[in-house]
Amino acid sequence: MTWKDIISLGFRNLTSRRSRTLLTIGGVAVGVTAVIFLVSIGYGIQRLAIRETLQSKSLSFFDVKVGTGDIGELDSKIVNKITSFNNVKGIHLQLETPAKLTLPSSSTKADVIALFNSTTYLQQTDLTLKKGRLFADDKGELLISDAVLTLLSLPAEKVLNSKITFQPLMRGGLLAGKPKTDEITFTVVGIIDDRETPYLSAPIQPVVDAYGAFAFSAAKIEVENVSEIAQTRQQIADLGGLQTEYVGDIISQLNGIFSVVRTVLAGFGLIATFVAALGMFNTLSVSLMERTREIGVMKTLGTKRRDVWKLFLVEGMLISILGGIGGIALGLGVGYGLNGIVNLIAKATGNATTSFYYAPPLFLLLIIGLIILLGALVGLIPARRATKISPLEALRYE
Amino acid sequence: MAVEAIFKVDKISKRYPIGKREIEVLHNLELEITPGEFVILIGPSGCGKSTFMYLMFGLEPPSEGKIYFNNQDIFAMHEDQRTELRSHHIAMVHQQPIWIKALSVRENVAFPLLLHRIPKSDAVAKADRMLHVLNLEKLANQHPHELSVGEQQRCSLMRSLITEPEVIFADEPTGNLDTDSSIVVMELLKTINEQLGKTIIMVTHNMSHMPYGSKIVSMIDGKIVNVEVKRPPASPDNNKGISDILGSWADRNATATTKPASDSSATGKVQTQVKSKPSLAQEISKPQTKVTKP
Ligand SMILES: Nc1ncnc2c1ncn2[C@@H]1O[C@H](COP(=O)(O)OP(=O)(O)O)[C@@H](O)[C@H]1O
Ligand SMILES: [Mg+2]
Repeated sequence: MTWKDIISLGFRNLTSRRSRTLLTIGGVAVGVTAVIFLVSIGYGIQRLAIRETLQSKSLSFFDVKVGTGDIGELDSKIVNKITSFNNVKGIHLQLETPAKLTLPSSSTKADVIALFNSTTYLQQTDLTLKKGRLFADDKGELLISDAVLTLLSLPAEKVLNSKITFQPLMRGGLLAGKPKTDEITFTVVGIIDDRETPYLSAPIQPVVDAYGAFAFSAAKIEVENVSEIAQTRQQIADLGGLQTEYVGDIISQLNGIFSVVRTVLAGFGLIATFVAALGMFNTLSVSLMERTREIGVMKTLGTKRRDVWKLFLVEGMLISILGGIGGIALGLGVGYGLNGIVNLIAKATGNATTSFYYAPPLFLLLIIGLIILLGALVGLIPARRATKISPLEALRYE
Repeated sequence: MAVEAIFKVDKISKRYPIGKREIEVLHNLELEITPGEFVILIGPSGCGKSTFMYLMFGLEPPSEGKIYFNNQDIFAMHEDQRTELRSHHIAMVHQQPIWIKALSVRENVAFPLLLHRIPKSDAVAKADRMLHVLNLEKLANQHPHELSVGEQQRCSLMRSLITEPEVIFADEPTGNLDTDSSIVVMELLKTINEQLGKTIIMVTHNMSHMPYGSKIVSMIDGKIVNVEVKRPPASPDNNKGISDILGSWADRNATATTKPASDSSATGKVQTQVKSKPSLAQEISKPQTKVTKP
């Protein structure tokens, strides 16, 4: 028989026992739905967690921090050394000092922390703006945190786009030399969403130009090649006293945790699939018993054992493929449907929408492959038994 | 001129284990069957007729002795070769026809051709033509179990004939039929034997079927006790195709069964539709396209 004839006969055999076939396919579909639904929720939440961790951060950056104690220092000599390392594409520095801040329009004052850095540096932090935008590095612009507004007792609208004067206070030799000017005046272009810490954030270059600087408090290193990041971090650690932090480490940890979570979730789904596989096995075995004489006569008509074997394998695979398609459709439908409903409610109640359900295409492909394999495996035993049916006994068996 | 035997049974015995003992079902059987013979195996129930037939059909080896088909020891063949043999050269009809339940009558009749890897449309077309000459085309789309036993048996004969085998085995083919349906089936077998020259090996209990046989083999208790040759084997009518011959069979049978009050549903159908179809005869005798792949 040709494969086409075998598949068509297998299909006819299944449709001629419609309700039993549908029940079995339904069982497989439920199992597959469970796997798809649970694992995709795992993937969805993992993706959410990673997005939350990364935000706008790039995996080509890592942080260098000055260690506790006096050993480590991020002075210009060290900065030059780091810049000369092979994999280092750029170094983005931050200088942290206390500062005094004045709002000339109302002459209110506040003591704040000043973080001098750059647009690139800020983009690699968790900073979120409540209003306005990030500063440009060379336009005399700065950002203040929400907490500063509280200190000044002013609403955001009054401060945004107005001038602010600040004076960095020397501390621990971070700033070198005598200041050329006492005060710097910049325009507020954004409010940082932080009600706890009063701080301002301004471009570092004008401060270095004004005061001179020989040591910095932190740096973000951009690398050429992410795969060699570990070596670069080691080089920096070898300089002594400097610590590195990499968002990739957290992501790896998250991935590790979630792969365990997914395995557990998949385990629940697999139990359902296993039960479905038993159902499939039962259906195929019963169908084999019912068709003993039929298979006997097929053999007396000259059907090859191989073709009988293929027929049962095909019937198993048809059930599993149809169940798999149904399960994938149902799993995706239920998952994305539920996500949609949750988002509708979120929108209605003024909350942010999220997607906590995610079925990666590769995962779906894997499931399709496994499901076909499952059908073949389950079909294997009845198929083998079918080839062993002695036509003689089948014909005598009434 | 000695005719080569198509089947030669050489001193076969068959034993089955029953618990720790063995029972001998067939004892030292010897028989030669030449092409065109209509062999009738007769004997009391349980004497081993079916077992003998199944052994010749290659379904199970004898405990001793050999069975030759066209001088080839069929149990020296590979299993696949025996499958080929059943697929191309021999066929069997059972007392109760066994069908592939999911398929229609037409598809069941066509099924053996699918085993030859003939395209399904061609196979079904040939099945339709064969059903047509027996006036069974109206039943082609039905489920086999919706047919009367007589109709089923005729369809089953068409299924065994569709691959144009040389030998047809029939194990009590009329055992479940009423007298009229039995006559129809016996007449059909006779036509297949006499006009197509097919060798028939048939088991029956029915003494009234004896005149159909050209050779009567009597068995008792697993032994052949008598072989009676009543006439020479038939030789095929080479000028005619299957459909011509079956068509003329249907004509004859229609008039033969027009006797009043003897109408079973099976024979009734035959007579009412006969007149409409002789023109089809030529078309069906077109040679079959064999696309057997190696
Ligand atoms: N597989 C078997 N095991 C044991 N005994 C069997 C087997 N097959 C057939 N027999 C016995 O062989 C004898 C002949 O059976 P069978 O050929 O069917 O007889 P018949 O067709 O002449 O009625 C019976 O007594 C039957 O019980
Ligand atoms: Mg019998």
